[in-house]
Amino acid sequence: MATEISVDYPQALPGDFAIWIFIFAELVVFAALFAAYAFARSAHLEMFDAAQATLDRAYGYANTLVLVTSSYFVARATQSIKAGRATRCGHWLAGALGLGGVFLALKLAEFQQDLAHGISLSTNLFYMFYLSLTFFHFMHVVMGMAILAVVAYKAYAGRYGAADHAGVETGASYWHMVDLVWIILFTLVYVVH
Amino acid sequence: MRLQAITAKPVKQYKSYCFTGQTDPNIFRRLILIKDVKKYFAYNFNRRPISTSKEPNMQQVFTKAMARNIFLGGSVFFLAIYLALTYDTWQQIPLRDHADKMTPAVLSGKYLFDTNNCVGCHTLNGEGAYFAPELGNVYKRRGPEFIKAWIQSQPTGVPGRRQMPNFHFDQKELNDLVAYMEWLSHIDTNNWPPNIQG
Amino acid sequence: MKFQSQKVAIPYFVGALALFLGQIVFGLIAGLQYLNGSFLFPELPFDIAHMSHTNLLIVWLLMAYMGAAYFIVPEEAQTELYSPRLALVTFWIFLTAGALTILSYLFVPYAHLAAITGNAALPTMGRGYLEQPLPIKVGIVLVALSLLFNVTMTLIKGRKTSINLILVGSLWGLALLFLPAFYFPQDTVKASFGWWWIVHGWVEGDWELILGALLGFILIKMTGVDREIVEKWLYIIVAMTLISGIIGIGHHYYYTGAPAYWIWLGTIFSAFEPIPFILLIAFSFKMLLARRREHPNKAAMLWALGTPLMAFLGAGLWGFMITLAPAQYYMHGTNFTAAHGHLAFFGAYAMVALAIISYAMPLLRGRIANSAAAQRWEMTGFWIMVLSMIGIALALTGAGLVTVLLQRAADDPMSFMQVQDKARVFFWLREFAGLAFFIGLLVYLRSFFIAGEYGYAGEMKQALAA
Repeated sequence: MATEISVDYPQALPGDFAIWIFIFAELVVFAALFAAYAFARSAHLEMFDAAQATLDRAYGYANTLVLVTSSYFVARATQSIKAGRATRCGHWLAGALGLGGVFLALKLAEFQQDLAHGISLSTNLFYMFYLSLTFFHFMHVVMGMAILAVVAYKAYAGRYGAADHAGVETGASYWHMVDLVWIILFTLVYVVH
Repeated sequence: MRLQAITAKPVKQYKSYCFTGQTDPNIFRRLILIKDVKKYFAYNFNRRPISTSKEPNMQQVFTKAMARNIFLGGSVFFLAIYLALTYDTWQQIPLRDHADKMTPAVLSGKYLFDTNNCVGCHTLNGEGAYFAPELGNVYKRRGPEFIKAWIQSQPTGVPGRRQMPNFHFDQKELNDLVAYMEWLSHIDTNNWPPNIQG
Repeated sequence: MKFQSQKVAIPYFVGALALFLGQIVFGLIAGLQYLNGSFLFPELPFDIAHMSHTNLLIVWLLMAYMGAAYFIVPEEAQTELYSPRLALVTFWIFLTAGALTILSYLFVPYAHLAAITGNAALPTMGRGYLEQPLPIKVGIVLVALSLLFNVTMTLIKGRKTSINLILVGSLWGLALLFLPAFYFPQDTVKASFGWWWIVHGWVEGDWELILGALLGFILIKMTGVDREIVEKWLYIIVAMTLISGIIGIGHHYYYTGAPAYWIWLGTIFSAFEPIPFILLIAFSFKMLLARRREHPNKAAMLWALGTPLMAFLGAGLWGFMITLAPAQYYMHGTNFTAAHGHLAFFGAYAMVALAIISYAMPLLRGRIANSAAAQRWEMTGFWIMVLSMIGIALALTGAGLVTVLLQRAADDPMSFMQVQDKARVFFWLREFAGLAFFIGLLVYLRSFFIAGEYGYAGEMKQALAA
């Protein structure tokens, strides 16, 4: 049985290995979505550029800042728990959750604005991609927040410690993935033209 | 970075190659990572979630509970996305198929279409059986009079030819069926079928 | 077999195999009608043969899965079935209803059947796979409720293994996904959109969970591999199934009137649908290599390993061929779909049913495995059926290709019937392959009538001598 493999693996992936399979699957899906976006854009360059210019980039920049900061908070949370400070870990996670909430609020306001302008999935190909990519990512933020909320609750409840922090690392890994995807998405959909 | 994690050799040794500028004797083995990845995967996958102090990284485990959570969480997640998309689709469909033009005649034609199992042989927008021609665009292909005459003249009785039963429709029923087929022919199907032959 | 109540699976398995035989007979008739349109007309028009073929498929698969549930759930839960009597009564109701449905198709004109069963009050008839009259649909729900009650009560009072949770959970999903059968909107596009909740939800979602649970159970039992590892694999496989498959439903929405964004979403997500099948292959062969014992039921092992391979071929490969929107633009509604349907239904769902029957039936008959002679018959049947089903799929692929080249993508497209004439050679090939399949099925069924059980002493002596 492979169980007996006794090779020394110095720096293993943090957290539960299962989450890395999931993260990998998610990244592959996002990669396919981004590739499809690039493919569609190459066929309708002018239309994409014109439609892209109508996006409100201020929302995008603000959200990037918010998510990157939240990632920092999550990183501090894992540091705290490794030092055995569970309550502080919970505080950092709560902060990250708050920032996630800010992201959702800003994104909802942006969706509201789009809706007011009569933009929908069927408006044109650019808005189809813009809306489905950002909505898909929006749902990932919701999911990431749900995970962080569970982790934060457990941290406050004292279920993690310096020796047992796999759960915090698992949640943090997922949250960083959500952040990473946003940075690519923001660059691709809002900025590059 | 990850190279270090999945190679079997200790990091220190690998680093020393990098810093001293020496050639790594195993460089090809390191580049072709498949073997290492497999080993790494097996290492993580086959371990039971029992950590002992002997384990160098006790959090490096693949737990069944986490796999189950991913299954449940992932399903709920994608189901939610599907429901949101379905909501949007539900708003769009009546615009794309001109639902406002579904007159009583169209609906009566549809009922006849269903209760005589037309899709048991034909396709409707590509769905059904592949024994007989496409009906989504038959109105455009054949026109109303041909369709009515065709339905009434069945079965042809030509030996060996595929046979369609006679359904004994009266004139009103024939007109309703044709009304339904006309309505079908105006559905926006993203330019399918590729040509009038269906 | 550890519990007496597992025996209730026997009638389910026998009934399933009998209906399977019926399904193939109707398939042969329908296939012949492609070549000679006046064959059995007007006594048995094509649509009746066709829907008997597809409905029998669904009924025998469901019957086999129910039998599998009655066999597996008590064993996994380590307790007797909650009510074996209820399971037995349910079997007879289900069999009677199934037989009645087919007989009503054969002897009552469809429109008349609709009129006398109250279809006007709540229209449900006239959709593929869901042709059953309203009372039969209600009966299906009642049978499902009885099954769910029985297995859930068993699960509650017993051990809750992951295999059992996935199996019982997916049976609940199966029943819930059938409910849209009662919702038939007047808007044809909406009706088609909702029809896929059932059809896609079953065959590209829920049934893959059942498949995984059955295969996982068989592999645990036959290889003796650590349950923990099997169940981890299983969760990852079913997770991938639903992650790719839920939005992957979009590949049914390209050209049926749904909005254009499904073309992109369906293409992207359904492109990942082969992944769970690849994982399933990796999983089963890994378990085989890690086996801790040599199980004497070689035939069951052959079915269990053949299932993921054929499922990948039919659902993964053939499915992928038609799933991307640009390809489907030409292939939609042609025999490409029929080829995929045949290979996927058999390779994934029929074969896993035959695998659990192959594993469970000897145990239910009081032996660990059938005699070597019986197993040889069974394995011969396996190979004939598998190879001839590949033959059917290849022949239908050929017929689909003729349609694409002459009708769909041609500069001067021919009419449907002209193209069908050009494809005759492929319909002949399909019919011959179908006949071979029928023979394979008879060979397989013959194996059940060979007496005797696996003799350790005898087989061992033989092995040593060789």
